[in-house]
Amino acid sequence: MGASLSRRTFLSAALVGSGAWSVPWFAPSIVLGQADKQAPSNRVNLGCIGMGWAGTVNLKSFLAQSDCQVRAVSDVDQEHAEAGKETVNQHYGNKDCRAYYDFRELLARPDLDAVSVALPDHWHAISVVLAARAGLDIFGEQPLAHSVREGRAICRAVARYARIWQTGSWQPAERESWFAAELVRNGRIGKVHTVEVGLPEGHTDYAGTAGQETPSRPPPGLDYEFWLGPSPWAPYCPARVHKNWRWHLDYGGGQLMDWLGHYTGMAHWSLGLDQTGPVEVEATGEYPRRGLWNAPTKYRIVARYQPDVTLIIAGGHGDIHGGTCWRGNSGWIRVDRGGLDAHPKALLEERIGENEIRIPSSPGRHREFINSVKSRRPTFAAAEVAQRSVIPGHLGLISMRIGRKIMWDPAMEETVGDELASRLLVTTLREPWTL
Amino acid sequence: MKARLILGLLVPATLGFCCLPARCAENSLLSLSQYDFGMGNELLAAIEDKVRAALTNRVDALDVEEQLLAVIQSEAPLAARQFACSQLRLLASPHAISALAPLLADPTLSHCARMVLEGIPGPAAATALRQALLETHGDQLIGVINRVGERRERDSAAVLVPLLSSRDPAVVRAAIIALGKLGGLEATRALEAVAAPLAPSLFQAGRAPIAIAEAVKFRLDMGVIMDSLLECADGIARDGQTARAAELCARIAEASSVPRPSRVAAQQALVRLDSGRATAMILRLLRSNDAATEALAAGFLRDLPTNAVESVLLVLDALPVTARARVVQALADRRDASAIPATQEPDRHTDEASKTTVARDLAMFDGDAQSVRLLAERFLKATSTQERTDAANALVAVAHERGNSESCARALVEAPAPDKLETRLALCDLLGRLGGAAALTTVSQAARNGEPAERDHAIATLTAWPDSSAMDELMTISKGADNLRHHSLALRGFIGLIERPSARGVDQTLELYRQALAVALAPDDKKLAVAGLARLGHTDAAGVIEPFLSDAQLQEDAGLALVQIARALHPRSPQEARAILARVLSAITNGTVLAEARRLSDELDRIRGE
Repeated sequence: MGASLSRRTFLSAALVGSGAWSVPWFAPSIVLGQADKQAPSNRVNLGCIGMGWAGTVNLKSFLAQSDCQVRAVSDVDQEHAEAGKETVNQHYGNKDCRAYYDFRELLARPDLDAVSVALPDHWHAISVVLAARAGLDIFGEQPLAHSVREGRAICRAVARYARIWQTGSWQPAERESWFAAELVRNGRIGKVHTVEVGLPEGHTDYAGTAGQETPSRPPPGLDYEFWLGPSPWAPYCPARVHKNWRWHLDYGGGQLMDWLGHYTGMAHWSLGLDQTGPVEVEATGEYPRRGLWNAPTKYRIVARYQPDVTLIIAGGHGDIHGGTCWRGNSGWIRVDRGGLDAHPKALLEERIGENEIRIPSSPGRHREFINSVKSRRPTFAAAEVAQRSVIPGHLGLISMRIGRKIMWDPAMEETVGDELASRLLVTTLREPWTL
Repeated sequence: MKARLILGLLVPATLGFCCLPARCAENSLLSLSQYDFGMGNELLAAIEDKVRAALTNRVDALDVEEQLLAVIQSEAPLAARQFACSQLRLLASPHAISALAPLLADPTLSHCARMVLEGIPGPAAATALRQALLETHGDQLIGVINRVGERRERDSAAVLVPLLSSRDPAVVRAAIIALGKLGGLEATRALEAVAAPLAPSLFQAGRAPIAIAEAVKFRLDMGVIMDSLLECADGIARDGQTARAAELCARIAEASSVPRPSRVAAQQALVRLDSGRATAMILRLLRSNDAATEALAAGFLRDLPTNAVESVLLVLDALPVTARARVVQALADRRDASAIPATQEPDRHTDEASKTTVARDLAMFDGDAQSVRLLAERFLKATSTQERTDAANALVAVAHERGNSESCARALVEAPAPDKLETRLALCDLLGRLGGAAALTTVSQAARNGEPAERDHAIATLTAWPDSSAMDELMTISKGADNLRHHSLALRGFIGLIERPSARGVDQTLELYRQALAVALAPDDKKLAVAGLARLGHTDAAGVIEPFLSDAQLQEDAGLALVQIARALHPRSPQEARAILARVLSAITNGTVLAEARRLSDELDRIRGE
């Protein structure tokens, strides 16, 4: 324990203090072109980056796949990393899994085929781009990235290196959501004019650290400087990190960005909009007036798409119920935690016929990812789809911040005539981090 | 030192600056210079409101910009200056550059200064960043290099190239990445010169070799250099020099001294840039006899232009069997009818697994009845369990992908019935996975008229039917069963299918449970229906269950079910929930049910008290 901690302390000093990229002492063999490992065909060797909440859930799902071998885990919190390692070793009944505190060490392993990445949003782009560059397929979490430009960097890296990407998408009623989306896509409610997506509001104290905002020393097992990484420097306090980071806009995007991609991905698909985006976005939000957390607690985003579809995304607005509701000129369909409802009711008895448009059946997102890693066939939840599904949220946050409607060119992925909004499409990474 | 650090962190927070909120109402911007970490958002939110309002008025915006610049130039705490920068990001005009430029070398504020500078329109911000390349060091220099790269102004190459000779590997790395982002011929030549000593067979140093420091040379990451070169290739292609870009990618794709991920990326780029070269490359990969390499090549094939695909098809027959199957799959993924080879027939292959794979892929591609029949035939005539399983999985995959499960089932049931019992049982399983009317008719017949083993199997298949359409048949079987096992199995299947998604109203669902209870003989079957009723969480369901409170064999299950209903009902009908609970408490005097009922009763009392 002591040895690994001191090694990490050394790493931390070496990386953060003197330029994170001057560290070829653990450079992978691919650095000099020696590695020529073949892509996976039978067994997928996996590394898991981020052993917090979602990371642990994903780890367990991958352990359940008989043709997947988890080789290594990493986390900047020693406690998390060691717990992940123990889970893996207990599962396999050996001591082969290795824990890292710097994910770049894990990426440098020559024996991996893929990684599962579950880090706070501000780390998504850097970790994923590096993973793609290392030739690894990637299972990533929502939202795709912390900003529009970071999301695009991920899409470019995944495409450039011909990597498989799967987003860890989840919906309270997945099967019903698919069915509803298929009904809509196949015209059962006529021409759709409005889609309403109701998301949670407020901040949920997942870690039980609400109010613990006094700057203090980080716990000894947490490499806090590395945790902060590319985000603005700020002193440690418990409310800033584990699980509750999502309520601070330097690291996450609140309920809106946590949940949005899970819903809009399906809404976009149902309308054939998953390769495009809105043309204008207008949003209002309420920000907390006290405390550390600054993500909006109540919000409403109105995004207009061509031709004539309005997507309303809201949290904390009584007129927009939780879940997704499609409204067309001959009926409506709603999916929420209670299941499926529709008008007319007969829609619920509909069958999607032969030669109609279907969502390819998925054996579950973790299984689908492993299948795609082997077959090299793209997953349904590809990076481009994930990027498109969260753009209304990114633009909504910008609209809230500058207090006006944003005109958007989805093909160029750029604002139209709004230089100020354009400034906020980018996250400036703290030195020495780069994409 | 440590004590001072902790004091520095804690003192502002413990002092609390409790007067700040009052001040912020008066003039939030004046109060900002006293803001520090740990003080909360109230002041910051007020300033954000002010900045948002100022965005609509140029005079106000200039005034707020002045005040924020004053904060960042003051001795205010880091938190205050950071926050001022975050707001200046929205307001800063070229006027702010002179105040921001000196901060680029400040280890604590360089990041924030860049954040503001990068958004300021016009050439002055770029000039300030380029000047900072000469005046900053270490991490701050890397940060500035990154920003110069992100601006993607090609004339910045002239100031970045000299940095390639730095003795700091991190600086050289940052310069390589930034040059890649600039793109253009100058950046490309510089990057080729960096790569030349590492891969002399690939790149020539050119007329102006770059002196890479010895200490840096062996620490350079070839993958990063190649990534930047590929970025340059993209830029060159966008400029219209596709042949030059393709040439660069072809060299990287072929180089054994380059890391494999970079070679794959170059191959992928070639597919876009030069379909002729890409076709030759794909064919070579398809002949590798390595499953993973074939899969990669098939992936490239999905992105290849249609005319190039046709030239792959010309030599399809000469490819290994497994590669051929991957090609067909890739063509199916393209949904490109012109690309499907008419000659691609499963019987051309020698091994059964490949025949099934090709048949599946053809069926997936065209969904044609003939293709599906071919696959059904493979299932029915399979000579081994593995063959049969492969064909069954292939049919299910086709049904899911094409949404034609009814056609798949018909292809199976319209063929002559298999002689072997083993095949008939497997057919039953497969029809159960496909579902639909044709499948249901066949499995129902087997359940009534088949051999004993076949009947068992068919009834079991009906109980796991993918939708509720098998319910009537199960009820009929249960009522007319000549043995208790079939009666119970069918009834349990019936109860299970009630919970499949349906548009039935609660009344209709209740009626189905009533039917089940009326037919049920064994207490365990009744318990199953009672549990299903409990999940309805409806008052009328409670009415159906309550009589069982006096049945010694069912009392406990009925009691627990009623508690469950009361719990579900309480949020919308508290009185009814309490009435149900009262009836349970009066009917049951001991055991788990009593404890559960009392616990819920206490809970409801507590909620009422609150």
